[in-house]
Amino acid sequence: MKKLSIYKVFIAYLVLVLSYFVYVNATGTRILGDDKEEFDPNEGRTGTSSGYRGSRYYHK
Amino acid sequence: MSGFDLTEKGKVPATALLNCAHCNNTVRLVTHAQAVNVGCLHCDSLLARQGNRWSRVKDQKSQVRVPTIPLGTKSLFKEIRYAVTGFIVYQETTAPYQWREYVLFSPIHGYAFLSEYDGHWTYFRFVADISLTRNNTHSLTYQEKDYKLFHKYSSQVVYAAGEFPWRLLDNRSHYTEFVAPPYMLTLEKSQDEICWMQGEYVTPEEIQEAFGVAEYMPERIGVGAAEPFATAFSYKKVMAAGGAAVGVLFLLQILFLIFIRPQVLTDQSFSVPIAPEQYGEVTLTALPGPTFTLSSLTGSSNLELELYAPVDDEWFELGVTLINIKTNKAYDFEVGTEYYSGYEGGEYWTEGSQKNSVTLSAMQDGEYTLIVQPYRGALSKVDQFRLWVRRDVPLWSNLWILLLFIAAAPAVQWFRNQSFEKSRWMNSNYSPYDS
Repeated sequence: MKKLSIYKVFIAYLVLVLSYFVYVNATGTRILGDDKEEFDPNEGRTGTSSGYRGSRYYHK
Repeated sequence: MSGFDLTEKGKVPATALLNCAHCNNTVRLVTHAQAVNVGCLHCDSLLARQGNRWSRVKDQKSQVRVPTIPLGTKSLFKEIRYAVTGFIVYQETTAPYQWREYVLFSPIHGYAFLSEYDGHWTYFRFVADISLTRNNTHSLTYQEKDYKLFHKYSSQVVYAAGEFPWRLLDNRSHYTEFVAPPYMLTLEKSQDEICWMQGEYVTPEEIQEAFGVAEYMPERIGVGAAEPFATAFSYKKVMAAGGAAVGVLFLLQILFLIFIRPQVLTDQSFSVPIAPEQYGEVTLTALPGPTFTLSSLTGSSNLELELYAPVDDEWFELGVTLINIKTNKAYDFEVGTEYYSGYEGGEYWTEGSQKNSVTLSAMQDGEYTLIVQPYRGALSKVDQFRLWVRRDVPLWSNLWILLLFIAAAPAVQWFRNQSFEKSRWMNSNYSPYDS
């Protein structure tokens, strides 16, 4: 009975994963996140840097 | 069973009485006239019936073993009313391995056996629908299950107590075992008979409950020959459920690709005139970008900004501010391109691309405007760039990540199952894992 419960938990887990997939795709959410930095004029800037971040391409 | 009335079905008949030929103590016989060997529990003598007389054929005092299930125990096991009528300790003839067998007797269903080795229990019953000549094979199919050859050996009796319908000492039995956990098929050959038995793995807990064993049960060591791997959360069940989930995942991805198609919101080219010669990084004037409206059924969608710049052995970068006109919420990010090429060691090489993109996750619906701040290196030849803004681009990374989440449990079970099977086959001379 106990082992059967583990299987049911696994099935529930699969349903949860598939539901989450529907949610992220429907809302355009990228699980890995993105590189944008959000700034709300009423709350202030999220993250630690201000303005454009300073990374530049210096090659060769 | 002579004298047994079918109205008493479900009951084990009364016992017959026998006086031990050695110690004269009374021995109770459940199987009555079927018994041809009897092991006396009082003096540990093995008796044999010769005609109407019983005589002592072996003194077993030096080999006495105590059965886990006491002789005479009555039990309803596998929906059959059994009495435990015999206990035998066997040993392989060519190895020191010993195992124990309990003879179960039912007046309706006949004989069955419980075998215990290293704490692993198997319940055996005779089967008559397998060809008796099918023994020289490495696999066989029975009742839609594929059995693999597991072991071949001969046995000899070390100790016996109780009553037995076959001659224990006159015959040496040869066994061929096939396994398809939780089942096992055993072909037994002796001078007197040849028969197939089907075994089914039984947990010690089932034995304890069915036979009311309150005493210590032999500790399970290793993996039993017919021991199944996690019956309720088996590798096959997990693989089946995981496989179905993967199928649904891909189906959903296809549906999303069909019904939510990428849409270009803006496509704009910008000029950044070449300035007089400068040294170091060049910061250009910020440029106002396009304005676009984002709307979706769910209130949010992803945005992709793709940059093209005709870079050649140089870099170009944009600092971008995306502003929600209504809420004034601003989003800062960068997107840059770089492309280098050369000739080295007799080979041409390239690195980078003239295109690059960034994806913004779950952007709320609304009207947005862009401000772009271009950067380029000294002596850059880039005098223009192009920017696309798209919505609802397919996010393949979501698919791969959740595929990993789904595959994790089956993968773990697969490795556990492999390890389990290797442990099982370590006890076999026919292991498929031997190279």
